[in-house]
Amino acid sequence: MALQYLAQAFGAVMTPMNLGVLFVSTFAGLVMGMLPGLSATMAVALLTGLTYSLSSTSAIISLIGVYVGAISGGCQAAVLLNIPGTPASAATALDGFPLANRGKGGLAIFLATTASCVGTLISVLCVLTLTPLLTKISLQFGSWEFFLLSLFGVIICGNLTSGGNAVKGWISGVIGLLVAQVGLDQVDAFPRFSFGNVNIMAGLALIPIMIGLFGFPEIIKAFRKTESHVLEFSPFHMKEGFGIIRDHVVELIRSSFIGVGVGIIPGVGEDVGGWLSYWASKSTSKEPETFGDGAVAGIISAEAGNNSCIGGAIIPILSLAVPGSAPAAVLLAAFMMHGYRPGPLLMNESPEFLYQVCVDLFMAAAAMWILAQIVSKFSVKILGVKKELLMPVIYVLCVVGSFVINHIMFDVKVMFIFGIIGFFLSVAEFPAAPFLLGVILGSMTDSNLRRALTISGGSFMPMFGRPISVIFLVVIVVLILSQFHVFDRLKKGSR
Amino acid sequence: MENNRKMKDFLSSIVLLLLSFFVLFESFGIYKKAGKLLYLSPALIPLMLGGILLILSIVLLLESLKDGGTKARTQEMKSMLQDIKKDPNSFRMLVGVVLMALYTFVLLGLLPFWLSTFLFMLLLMYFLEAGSLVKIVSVSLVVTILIIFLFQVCFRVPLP
Repeated sequence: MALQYLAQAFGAVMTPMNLGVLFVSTFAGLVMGMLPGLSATMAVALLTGLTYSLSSTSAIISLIGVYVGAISGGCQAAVLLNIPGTPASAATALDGFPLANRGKGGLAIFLATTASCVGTLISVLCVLTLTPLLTKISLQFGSWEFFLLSLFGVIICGNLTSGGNAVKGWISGVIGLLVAQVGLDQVDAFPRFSFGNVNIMAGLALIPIMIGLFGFPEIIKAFRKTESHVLEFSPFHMKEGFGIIRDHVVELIRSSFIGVGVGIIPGVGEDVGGWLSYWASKSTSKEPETFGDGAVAGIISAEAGNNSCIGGAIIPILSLAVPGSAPAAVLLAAFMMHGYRPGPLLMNESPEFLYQVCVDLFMAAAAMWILAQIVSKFSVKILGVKKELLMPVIYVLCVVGSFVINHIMFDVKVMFIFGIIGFFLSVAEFPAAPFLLGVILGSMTDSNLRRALTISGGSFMPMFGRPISVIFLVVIVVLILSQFHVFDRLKKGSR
Repeated sequence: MENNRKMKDFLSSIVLLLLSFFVLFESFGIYKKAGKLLYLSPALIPLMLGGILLILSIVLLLESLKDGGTKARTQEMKSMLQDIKKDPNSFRMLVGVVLMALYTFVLLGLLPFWLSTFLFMLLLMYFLEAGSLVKIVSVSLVVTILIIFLFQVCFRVPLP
């Protein structure tokens, strides 16, 4: 049966129309990822609105294409500009730029894109094998488990994306959860925080919020005058590149699995995957001192780690309807917009969808690699496009992307307001990823807690009698206590 | 840098405290209006979240007051405001946001999409000194035509 689904999925992608969509969207993703200030999340969020009128198959192909392209495209700016095109490529810049400074920019980009491609392909295997497993586990979930899962998601996302101060990550997540409470509640249809406004009563649409949170701040920041120097792309021999990849196959595979693991954690994105893989390679290397000075292992690890996160982040979407990263959160919204219902029942209701997503990822990785080899020859020109010309165009696309979902100007205004909120969050160094995760998981938190309490007659005790709930509770408590250094103090006390 | 962060935390914790009070006040109103037991009420989660936000804001406020207290943070705030005033980028960002707000809230409501989009891009690119006037006019015109062609003609999607 699986082979039949795979064949069908390949058949769907191989039509001239869908192949065209795949290459165009992957190219768009590469270019957007390449340009500093246009993140992968913004690229996927923009395209979600713009693919509204496409068939669901073509829309999913284009969204996955742009996702893979954008995460990988970031490496080109990291190597040639020393500015990561997307946060995911931050670790790549550490060794990519020094290598490019030594006249090996072409080789650095080749290594980065090849590692990205292999990382994505390995993550496809993980999606195929781990999604059914996680789905089986998620079928054991009841209301208490879903409530605790959403809390766990927001808390761990806050911990890992806040850059040291988890309280700020949690605050961001709590505000996101609050935003999701706006409008008629799912259980009683009671209006909350709507102030008599009919548009607000219908709830705030996800896509305008996402575009605002992730797109708008980058546009405003790009209004600053900055100077940057682009290094020239230097030619190289592909044989040399493949030889280096072969010599670093261990780092490549290890980083890919680290990336998948990080991707599965709710809300924790490709940047963390890249950094963790880089750190793992550095700490196990025989020559750790070369890292930061053009070590090819650093480039390979960082790129394999961030791109394999894509597959990892898709696994919890398909099995639990919980996104593994910020761009994946947009992807989840897009899946829903196009009529799919990710979650525990997906494998029963539309089992072919898993294989469709895997084949799309596989094809997008291949398309990305081919296109990246061509695009890298013109990277210098693309990176030289004036952001003063680009950003007004991007804002118009943000407006169009927000409008086309429901065809109301209210959504465009929501995008603007959340853009301002996103800008201030960014200035005050609050991570946006937990906010977004909170918005997505808010209704799950609300409806499941109230359903569970209705069944238990208002008692929280059943939560402590269910094994999966207890595991979630223990992990949540440990995560919270660890941020207040409780365990360190206990250790010191026992000495 | 660390102190600057503390000042930002101090400022944001005050805003967040106000927000949490507002959420708690509104949620209590929902609880009263719905007239249900708390565990069945639509106000349950908003009340819980308002409470958590209040606690987290207090934690953030207390952390931000370490090393210098309110006096030091107020001083830092004053010097930051002066830096913002001096920085020419602040003016560019402010005008950029005002133009985007003008396009979103005024132009799109008053004028047809093609005209408001063309005018917005023209104004913003001109302000940001994106190139010669001919270049700016041509880019604005071509992008407007492309967007309308792509969405209205190819995708058959209505535009604002």
